[in-house]
Amino acid sequence: MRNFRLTIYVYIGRFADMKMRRSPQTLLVLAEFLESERDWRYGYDISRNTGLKSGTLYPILMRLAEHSLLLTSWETTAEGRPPRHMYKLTQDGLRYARAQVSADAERAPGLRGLVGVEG
Amino acid sequence: MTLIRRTALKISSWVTWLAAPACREWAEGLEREVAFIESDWGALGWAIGSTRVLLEPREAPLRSLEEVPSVARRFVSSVRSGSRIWGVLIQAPVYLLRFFQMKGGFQHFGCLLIVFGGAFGAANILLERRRLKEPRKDDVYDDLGPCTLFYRAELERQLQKLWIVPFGWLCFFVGFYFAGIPSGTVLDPFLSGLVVLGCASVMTGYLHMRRINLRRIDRLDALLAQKG
Repeated sequence: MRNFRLTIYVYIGRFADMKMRRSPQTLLVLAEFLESERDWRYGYDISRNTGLKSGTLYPILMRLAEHSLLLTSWETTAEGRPPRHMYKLTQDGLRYARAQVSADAERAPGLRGLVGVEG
Repeated sequence: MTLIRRTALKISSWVTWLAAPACREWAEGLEREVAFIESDWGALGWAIGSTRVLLEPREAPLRSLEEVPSVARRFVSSVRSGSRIWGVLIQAPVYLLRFFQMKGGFQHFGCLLIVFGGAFGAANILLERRRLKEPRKDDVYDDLGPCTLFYRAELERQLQKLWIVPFGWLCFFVGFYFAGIPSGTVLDPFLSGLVVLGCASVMTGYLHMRRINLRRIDRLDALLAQKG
């Protein structure tokens, strides 16, 4: 019985990503990651490309990482330069991003190109 | 290096220093980016924005399901202690005594409200302590599966019951307000301001705790999803 209940919770957990708040800002960030899915991205570059301020961007990144949708890493740089924090979507994150961006593509025509939705 | 950039670097390092352990990596990430922003004013704006990290919950998120038993133990012990409502409980007997000394109807009402808030809080603590007896007969913490289920169920339960603490405190503040009104006099603006401030902080605290609990549930679900 307990195993059965645990299985139920595992399935609840599978849909946990649906609880992530899907704000327009989150969609912008996800769309930005989809621009180059395999590359590690820097916070400032994402901020510049999306127009989001650091105070808006980082809570979103933190939330994505909390849901295991985002990987973080420290870049090893040349001597004298401080290492930078880099971000990349996980496989789950990529799936989530594609689903969210495509779901919103109808409402936000600017995002259509990223997921190949025809206007 | 200009003064503006120096200020930006100072703010960023201050944020890193103040950030909760769970957020320190992010604060450091923000700090490092300052060096790569060309414009000084841009760097300052970035640094000011980074202070938002300080508002993030202070709790480190669960890293794996193996951490659940210790986290669940801590959570249950905090529920049992009911520490967030002790302030109201302590005030209740004081205002019960004051009830007999007061003369005005408003003052009586205020005292009764505080006593009610305290009694309500005390009843809740007693019920929770009875429900979450320690040590539990079937020690739920020994087995990871049942412990995870137990912890999640407790989080859900506490989310439903989260209103009890702010309710007790609201009773206290509103009661405090009425108890402070001498009969036949105008309302004291200082007292009113104090009460409004108290109620606002109670509501902020409630929303904050709710957010933390929702995050705990989300994190647990995410870990369960990984396991699945």
